[in-house]
Amino acid sequence: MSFNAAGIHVLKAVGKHAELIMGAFESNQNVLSETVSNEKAVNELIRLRIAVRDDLDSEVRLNSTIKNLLEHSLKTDRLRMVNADIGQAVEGIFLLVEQYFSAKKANYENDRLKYLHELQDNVSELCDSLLDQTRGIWRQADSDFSVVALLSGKIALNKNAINKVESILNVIDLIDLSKMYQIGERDRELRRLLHVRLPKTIELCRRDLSDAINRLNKMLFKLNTLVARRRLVQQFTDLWNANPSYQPVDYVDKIDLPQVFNRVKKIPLLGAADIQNTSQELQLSEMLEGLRKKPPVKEDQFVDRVSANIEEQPPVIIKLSEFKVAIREVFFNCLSNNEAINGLESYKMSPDGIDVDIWIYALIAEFNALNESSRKLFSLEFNGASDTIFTGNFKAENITLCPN
Amino acid sequence: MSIEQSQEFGRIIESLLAQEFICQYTDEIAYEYLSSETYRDNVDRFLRKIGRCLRQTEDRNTYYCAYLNIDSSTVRKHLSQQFKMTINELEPLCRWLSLIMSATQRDAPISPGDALRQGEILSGLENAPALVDDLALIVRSGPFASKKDKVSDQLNHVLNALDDQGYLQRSSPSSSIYIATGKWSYLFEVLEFIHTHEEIGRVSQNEEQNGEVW
Repeated sequence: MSFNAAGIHVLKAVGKHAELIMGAFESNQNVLSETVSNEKAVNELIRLRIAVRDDLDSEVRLNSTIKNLLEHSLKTDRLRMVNADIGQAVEGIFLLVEQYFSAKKANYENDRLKYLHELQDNVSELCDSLLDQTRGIWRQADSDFSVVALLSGKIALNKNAINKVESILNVIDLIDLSKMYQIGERDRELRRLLHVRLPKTIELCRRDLSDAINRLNKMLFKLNTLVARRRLVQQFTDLWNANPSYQPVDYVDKIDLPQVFNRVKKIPLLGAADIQNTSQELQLSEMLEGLRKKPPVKEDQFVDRVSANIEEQPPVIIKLSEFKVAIREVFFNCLSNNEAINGLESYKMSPDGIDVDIWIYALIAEFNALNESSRKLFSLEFNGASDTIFTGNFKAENITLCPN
Repeated sequence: MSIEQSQEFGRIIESLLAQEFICQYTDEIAYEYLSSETYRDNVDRFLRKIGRCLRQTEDRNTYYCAYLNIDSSTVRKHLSQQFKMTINELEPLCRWLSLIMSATQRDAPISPGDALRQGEILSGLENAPALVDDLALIVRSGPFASKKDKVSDQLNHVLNALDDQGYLQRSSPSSSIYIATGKWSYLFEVLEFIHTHEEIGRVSQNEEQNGEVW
């Protein structure tokens, strides 16, 4: 079986026994449940090193590599110990760099490439490891250690996380970036790895871990406060159980009043008459004394009611004005004589004191105010011409009322 | 100051003078307003003109109003009344905190922002007769006194009383979920002060030791 085929076979086996593996992973102890029916599957997993039986009598557990793979992919909040052996990885990188240069110098191209690939893998692994550890810390901090309910457990996990962060930061500080920069300078391939990728990852981790430690410290303070408060409640409750008549000292009675008891009294913000308050009765009496005794003039207004009974009302004759009668006369004349009447010529019928403009406008208004049936009897023409310049404007100089 | 800011300013002053505790859970807008140093100074300056000042709890989560000068007899009288009310509340509130920890299986006492679900507390009480007795003790006398017999009614009564007193706030008017306010921070400050000055812990330890001897 080729290397490639063997790898595919392993991955297929993982897929084939996925339920069994996940069952073990979720059991939180990573122990595979062995039954008669799955004996063959368990044996295959052991053969492929996916599962391990530590002793002949012991249970079969998942290999930590598989467990780590699942934790990595599922982004679980499980508590993992940090592989802080970054120093060794760095040492390995320096060794490979040394060998790489030796092969390059001796013109052993195959060896050089092999060392380069190995170096790339090592740098990637170190970067992934650093990032994974940082993310793991953040996942724990983000979850507020909700995997456990007890405050003591949360505090222990928090302290553990802080220690992990500190140890990772210490190890990161030990990575000699200047040396890496120096050895990477001589080769383009190495420059990419040792000048860019690794320093960038280290910087990112350093920043994230600094933030994480800040947050963890704040959380630890909060957790310690909660513990102190829980103790307070417990001790006071115990005290009242033992001594139900217990009352704290009257601190307000002391000369130096503790600021914690300094709270304002509620001020009523809504005004209302206090009818029981007699403090201003005297002033009110004095004010009332000076008031006049004569009753004020009755200022109520009375209106004569108009009868709403229509039958009692005499018929009302609406008297038309002289001007209105004259305007109507023009319309009557037009109909009775069946001839057109010029507006300006009819002006002579107007009563005294009426301007010609008013007369003409009144004729137009009367025409417009006629009901539809009456208006059909007449037509009104405007005599004039369009403006020479502003041709949209029609300038009427006279009107003619024509019978239809 | 814009009209909105001036309205907000007035509202906050009124709340503080009405003895309210302002935290992000009771009034998020007012809390944000007071979180700005400039606005906070404005509020404090105004209060100082009328003989009061703005104070914060030690955890800096809650604002309240205090007297600027505590030497006058009127202020002392007011403070004495306040103190008696606070002291009367201490025992039932401590018992309530202890009860909630047991009923909801929390390892920490109520903190500002915690959500209390009436159903969860009730089911916790139903499963533990000792806690039902503790609740009965809380409503027997003091600020939470009630003549109700049923556990659910007693619980409802205490939750409503805590809501009225500003320790809890319903998440919505008809909800059975209550959010703890910043007033608990103030309560813990009072407890801590008394604890330190009256050496409560030492008293309890001595009693425990005496118990062991006997």
